[in-house]
Amino acid sequence: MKDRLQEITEEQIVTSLKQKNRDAVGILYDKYSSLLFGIIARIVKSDETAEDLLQEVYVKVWKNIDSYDPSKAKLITWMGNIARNLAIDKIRSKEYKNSLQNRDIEDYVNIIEESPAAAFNPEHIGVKDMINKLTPEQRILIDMVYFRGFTQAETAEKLGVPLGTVKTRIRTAINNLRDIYT
Amino acid sequence: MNTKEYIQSGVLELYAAGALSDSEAREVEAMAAQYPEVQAELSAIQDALVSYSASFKKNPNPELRSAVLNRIDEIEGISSTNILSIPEAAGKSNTIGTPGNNSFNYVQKPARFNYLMAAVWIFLVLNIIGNVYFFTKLKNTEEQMAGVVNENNKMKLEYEKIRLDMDKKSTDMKMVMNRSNKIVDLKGMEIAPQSFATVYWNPNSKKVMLNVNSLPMPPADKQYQLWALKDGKPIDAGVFDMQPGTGDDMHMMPVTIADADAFAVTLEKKGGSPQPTLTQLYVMGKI
Repeated sequence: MKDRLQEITEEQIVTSLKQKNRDAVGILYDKYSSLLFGIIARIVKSDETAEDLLQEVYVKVWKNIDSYDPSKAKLITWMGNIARNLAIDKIRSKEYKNSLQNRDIEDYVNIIEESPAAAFNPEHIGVKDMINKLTPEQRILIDMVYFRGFTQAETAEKLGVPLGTVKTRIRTAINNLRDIYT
Repeated sequence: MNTKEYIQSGVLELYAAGALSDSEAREVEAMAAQYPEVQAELSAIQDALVSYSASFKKNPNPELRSAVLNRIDEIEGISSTNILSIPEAAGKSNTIGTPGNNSFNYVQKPARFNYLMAAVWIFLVLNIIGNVYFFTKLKNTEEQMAGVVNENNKMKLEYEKIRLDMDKKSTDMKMVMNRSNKIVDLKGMEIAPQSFATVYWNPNSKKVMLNVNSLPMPPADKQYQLWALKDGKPIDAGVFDMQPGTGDDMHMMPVTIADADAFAVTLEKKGGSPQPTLTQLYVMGKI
């Protein structure tokens, strides 16, 4: 199963999607649903909401595949951004804010450290290495902006550091991540 | 602008991580669209973040796969043209109402107006034709209705006549069928040998009924008169008219006859005579 999926190139999937081939959605689901679900669930912190949003991601991919430009981004990156944007929009919405009380950063640090996915992921070789490449401080930083949707200014305020420092630290953290993948 | 400096400023990382305000994000998008090296750097950053996200992989409920495919089928079944515009990868801005969309609307407007006018005219013309048609139809119906009412009145009269007739007939019938009746055949005399009549006389009720089977039509100034005979003495039993062509010539005579041994019919002047004109004896019969 896994081998078969990897044989199909991203280009073929995109072509099939543009031809409105429903099977392509199935392939995309098998390939990326756990990654996208991971992103969404980490942002909205509710599996139920995350499942609703995951459906929306695939609907958006189906409807908007013509606006995807392969020269600009990998398909998974494009999809990942759709997933993140949907999830961030959700937690910024009024109804969601009311239903979920905001947690302190201290709580949030605990969540990261407790998260089993962060510590073990048997399917993903090198994940532990990757996480370890980041300092706890960097991990919190990326989580705050990427998974909690804080702006640069909000992050600076929460952490009590200057705006420029947030910028520098994020750049360093992402550079560390890039080292692993290049 | 020096793109190298721009890349090293760290703004691309902030953008990819979603930490920029909307206006700042749009600046980055504009830069990436303009400079391919900026776009390439941005893509690499985004890839790294998505790869990092892979460390949080989580399997959704297995049933979700078919739910997703069902949603796709639903979309295709209901509408395949309803395409929402979403921003490019990592885009935050909403592009509702692009200039292209607006100009499309403006071009469409006059055309739609013309169609509307045409529709109004067609509606009016059809309406007038319809009114004329239905008015004519109404007129015809009214005429037909008058005819039907007239016919109905005629039928009522006819019915009334038949009912009266029927009443008379059933009275006659009762009379005729009475078992104590004496039935007297009156046979034609020399003056009219083909003539024939029947008298039903009930000695108990003393009523007399005459059935004219066959008699010549009398002249306009004459009437037939029925006589009862007792011991050769004639007793007036009343005059009667002939009803030509109806075949109904039963006459309940307006007299009572206490006793008789014969009956006879003579032709007399209108209103009858005190004594029978024996030269005008048409039919006679003994009991």
